[in-house]
Amino acid sequence: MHNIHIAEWILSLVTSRDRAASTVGDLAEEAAARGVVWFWSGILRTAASLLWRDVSENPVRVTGLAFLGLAVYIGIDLLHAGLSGVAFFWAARAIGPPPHPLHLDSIGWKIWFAAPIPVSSLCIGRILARWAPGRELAACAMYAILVSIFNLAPMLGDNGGFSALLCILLVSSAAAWGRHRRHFATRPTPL
Amino acid sequence: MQSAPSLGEFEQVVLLAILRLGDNAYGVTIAAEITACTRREPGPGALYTTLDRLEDKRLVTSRLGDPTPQRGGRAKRYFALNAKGLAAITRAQQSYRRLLEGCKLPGLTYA
Repeated sequence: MHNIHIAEWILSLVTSRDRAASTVGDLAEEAAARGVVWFWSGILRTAASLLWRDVSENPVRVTGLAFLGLAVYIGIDLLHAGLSGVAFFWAARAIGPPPHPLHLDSIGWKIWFAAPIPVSSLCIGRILARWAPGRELAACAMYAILVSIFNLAPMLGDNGGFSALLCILLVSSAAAWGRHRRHFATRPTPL
Repeated sequence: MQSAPSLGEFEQVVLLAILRLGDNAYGVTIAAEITACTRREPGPGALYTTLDRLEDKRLVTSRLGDPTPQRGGRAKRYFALNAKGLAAITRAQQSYRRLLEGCKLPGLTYA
C-alpha cells in the first residue's frame, strides 16, 4: 500500500497517532482481501465518524475554539483593513488628490486584498491545532462553518446583528443536536 | 457513589466480542466476530469510534503488538476488558435477562 502514510496522516488529524497507526494497519490487513477502494472508503468513513464524535462529545469546547478562531479572523481582517486604509491614503497623497490614477483593480491591489484569506487561514489553522491537540480537524471544520456563515450572511442582505444571531443559532443547534444524538446513542440501553 | 457508565447496544456487542476473543481481540478479529455472531458487518467508522469511546470510558484497556509487514508495518492494538468493563457488561446483560424472564419468544426459553 503506497499511500498508507497519507491514510495515517488523515486519521491522525482526528485521533492520536498510535490509534491512527493501528487503525490503518487493521484496514490495510483487511484490504489485502477487499481491495484498495474498500481501504480508502474505510479510512474516510472512520475519519468522518471520529470527526463527528469529536464535535458531538465536546460541542462546547469545539464551538468555543471555533469562536476564538473567528475572533482571530476578525482581528486579522480589521488589521488588514487598517493597513489598507493607511496604504491607500499614503498612495493618494504621494500621487495626488482624487480623482487619481490609483487602480484598485491592479494586480498589486488584488494580491493585497486577497492576501488575508490564505494568511489568516494558515495562522488560525496553526493556532487551533495548538489549542486542540487530537481534535484539530473538528476545530478547523467548525471554524470553517462559522466563518462561512459569518461571510455569507451579509451577502444575503442581512445586517450584522442578524448574521451573528444566525451564527449562534446554527452552531448551538448543531451542538444541541450532537448532544441529543449522543444521549440517544447511549441511553436506550443503560440497563 | 460514582454512577455506572451506561452502555449503548453496539457498545455491548463490541464488549462481548472482545470478551469472546480473549487475547486475540483487535480491530479485524473483533469485526469478524461481530459479523459471525450477529450476521451484521460493522462499519469501520462505527467500530473504531466505539473502541475509542470504550477506551476513553476506561471500560477496556489496549496494548500494542508487534508490527507486521502485512499491515504496512503497523502494530495491532489488542483490546481487553478490565474489571469496570466486565462489571458494566454483566450489569447490562443481567438487566436484559430480567426483562426476558417470562417472555415467550419463538425459539428461546428463559426460566
